[in-house]
Amino acid sequence: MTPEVIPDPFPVGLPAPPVLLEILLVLTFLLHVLMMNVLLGGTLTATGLEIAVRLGRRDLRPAARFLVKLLPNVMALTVTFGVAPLLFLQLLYGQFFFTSSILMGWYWLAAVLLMLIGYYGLYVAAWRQGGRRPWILAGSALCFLAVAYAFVHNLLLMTRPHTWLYAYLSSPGGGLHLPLGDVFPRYLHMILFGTSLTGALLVGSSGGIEEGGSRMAGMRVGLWVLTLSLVAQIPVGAWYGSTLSAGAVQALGASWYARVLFVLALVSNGAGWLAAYRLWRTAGTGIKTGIPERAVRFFPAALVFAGTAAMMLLRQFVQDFELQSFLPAGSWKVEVQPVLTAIFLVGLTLAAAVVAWLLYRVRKDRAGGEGPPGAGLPAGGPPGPEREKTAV
Amino acid sequence: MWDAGVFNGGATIALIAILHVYIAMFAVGTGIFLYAGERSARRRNDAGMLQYLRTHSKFFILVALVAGAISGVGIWFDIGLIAPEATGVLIRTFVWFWALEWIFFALEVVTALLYYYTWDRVRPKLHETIGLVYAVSAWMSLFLINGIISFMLTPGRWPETHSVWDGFWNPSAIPSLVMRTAVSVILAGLYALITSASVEDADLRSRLVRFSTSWMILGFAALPLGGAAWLAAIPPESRATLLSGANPASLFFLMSMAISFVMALFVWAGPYKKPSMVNTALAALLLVMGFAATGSSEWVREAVRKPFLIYGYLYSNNVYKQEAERLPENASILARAKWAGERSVAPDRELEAGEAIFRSACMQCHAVNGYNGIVPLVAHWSEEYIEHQLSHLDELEAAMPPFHATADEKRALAKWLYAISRPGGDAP
Repeated sequence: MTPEVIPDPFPVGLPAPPVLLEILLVLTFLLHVLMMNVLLGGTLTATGLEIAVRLGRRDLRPAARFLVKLLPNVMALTVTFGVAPLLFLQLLYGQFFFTSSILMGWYWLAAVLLMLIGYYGLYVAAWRQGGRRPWILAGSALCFLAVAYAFVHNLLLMTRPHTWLYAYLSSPGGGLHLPLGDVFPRYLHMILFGTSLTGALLVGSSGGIEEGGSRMAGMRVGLWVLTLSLVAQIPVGAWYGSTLSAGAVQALGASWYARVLFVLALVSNGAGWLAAYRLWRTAGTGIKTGIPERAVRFFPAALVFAGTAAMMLLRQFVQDFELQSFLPAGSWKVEVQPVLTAIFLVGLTLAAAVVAWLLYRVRKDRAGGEGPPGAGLPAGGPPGPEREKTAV
Repeated sequence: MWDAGVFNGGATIALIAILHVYIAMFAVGTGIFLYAGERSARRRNDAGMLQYLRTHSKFFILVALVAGAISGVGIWFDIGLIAPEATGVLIRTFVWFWALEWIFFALEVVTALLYYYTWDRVRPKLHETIGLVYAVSAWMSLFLINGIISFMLTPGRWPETHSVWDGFWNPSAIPSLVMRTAVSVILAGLYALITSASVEDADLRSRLVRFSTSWMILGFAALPLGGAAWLAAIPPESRATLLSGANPASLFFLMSMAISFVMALFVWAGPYKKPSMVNTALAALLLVMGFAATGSSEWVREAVRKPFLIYGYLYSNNVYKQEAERLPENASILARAKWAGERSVAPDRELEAGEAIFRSACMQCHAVNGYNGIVPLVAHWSEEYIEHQLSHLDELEAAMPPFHATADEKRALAKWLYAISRPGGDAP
């Protein structure tokens, strides 16, 4: 049954076939999830590492620095890659997303302020030395945890139109309407994706640290973070599964696509853990694969992310299933803009080529392949934080 | 309809959008500023200038990439809260322009970070190229967004043709682009004054101040051209509102022009002619004045669109013009309002019905108290006079949309408005 509060379809049609828009939504969302997971898991892990350093574990300093330096750039990319899926989500499911956002009101808008505070915190932590760094990072982590909660709540609320009218009439200014038991498993599930990816990343990045003690310490912490996250994911995943609607569970069970994704997620995460374990056992130098060692170090993170991506596709499957049953007739009428669609696809390709070319040229110049770097510039240290020997 | 309390949705978007515009246009202008500055400094082998540009690019990253990017996301969040119908229509019409803008935004972010991190690590020519890619991407973002924003006031032939090209190349698009490019150049110089003012070497500081202010003067020179063309392109009703001199939009418009004129004159006669007079406090004062001018003009741009969100197409209360024309004068609003707790005006629940009508039809623009609050507006009116106003809303107030409701509903709303505006009235 369709709740009557679902807004009427927009009078303007979709500018491309829904399947293309859905693909763009999923692809850009995966890019966003990759960055978001590193951001959230990285900020939490970096906070823990910085506290450990402060408590005397100096061998963890390079691993902590690696994350702290990385995070502001990851935040920039998280925001950048978040804009496109937000756009395509609003395009396909605007009636639902706008409504759930309004129902959250100030709680939704507050996410913007929290992002800003958390972002500046990352820059302060990266550019400033001193004993307050763990607390600044902890502040950023709290901000991002709150933002993540707002997102999880909103994306869940949007799939539950039958709760909307009561939510609005009971709290027109906005609120967190869904029971904690519904939101929390999904929220924990997302956080654990972040920490597991960060753990895998840390194993690989620490493998490049020159000093032996710090290398092993960083890899060990990374492996612990990965292991604990994956183990915790088992009960949390089961809990999350138990909160899905009966219809969604039935649809998941009936779909070979969903079953393949689920198996892929399990296998990828398991393979990611094994790759990380192997890397730690050989301390990042002993694997003879014929592949450059730098690339091998990122196998664990790549595999864990592949597992996360499979789970995200499953999540999208459930979301689409639930929303499709509420979508009013005529919501997805199509008025194709073929020229603009082509311009966008060509533009996207060209932009990716420009970025790849610039990165290639920068790498070549920094390796000293085309004359002295920085020729013609005044003497002086690098503008950013002190360079570390993490060799990533 | 989101009940944002005393702030009202309009106040939140004004705050976020003005902040974003002030930073985003700085980001656009500074792309050109950094590229041109670096190129010129290298040709002249000016080590001091290069050192300054490097420092300025750090300031730029902190302002543009952090506050600029997040406030941009904030606009997305906020317009979905306060104007979901218009946002949905805009997204469906212009999604490919927005998606193209996202590509340029992504290029901006990547090249801005590369530009900053590679200052002394790559060959100068490559560094300049990175700066150029940033500058072009940032301006292209402005170009694309400008087409959509200007569409909202001057949709041109779009309401008839529904062609996205008619919407994008709307009558005020080019004048608005000229204006925004000019403001971006001004802001590049204005923000550069802040970092220039703290340079210790007096000679270098003077050169930098002169360089920064020359950008501002260039922008101020181009601004009237775009402004005059924009004024000629906007709907006659909006132009009349602006030039009447007797309403807030008109006063803000005059204020914006006056501040810009005073700034231009002062910058030319002061810092440009005597660069040594600039210090951080003066630069900060100019920055505040710039914010006031930009904020006023952005507020005006929103205000002259009333009673529409998309001019001539969608009213500010989320009712389409075509739909409003089809509706009978006494069409029940509660029957149309999906979210109202009351579905009709029951004799013993007039006040409750009045509040429900207010939430459905008025809260888009009006708070109860606070920003654009309704209580101060009706505080001295009798119940009968409020009802009379409601019956002839769009005829008596040019900025108000037509109000279709039954006689009972108008009476219930009038009763509720009268009740809450009395001393001790029970406003929610």
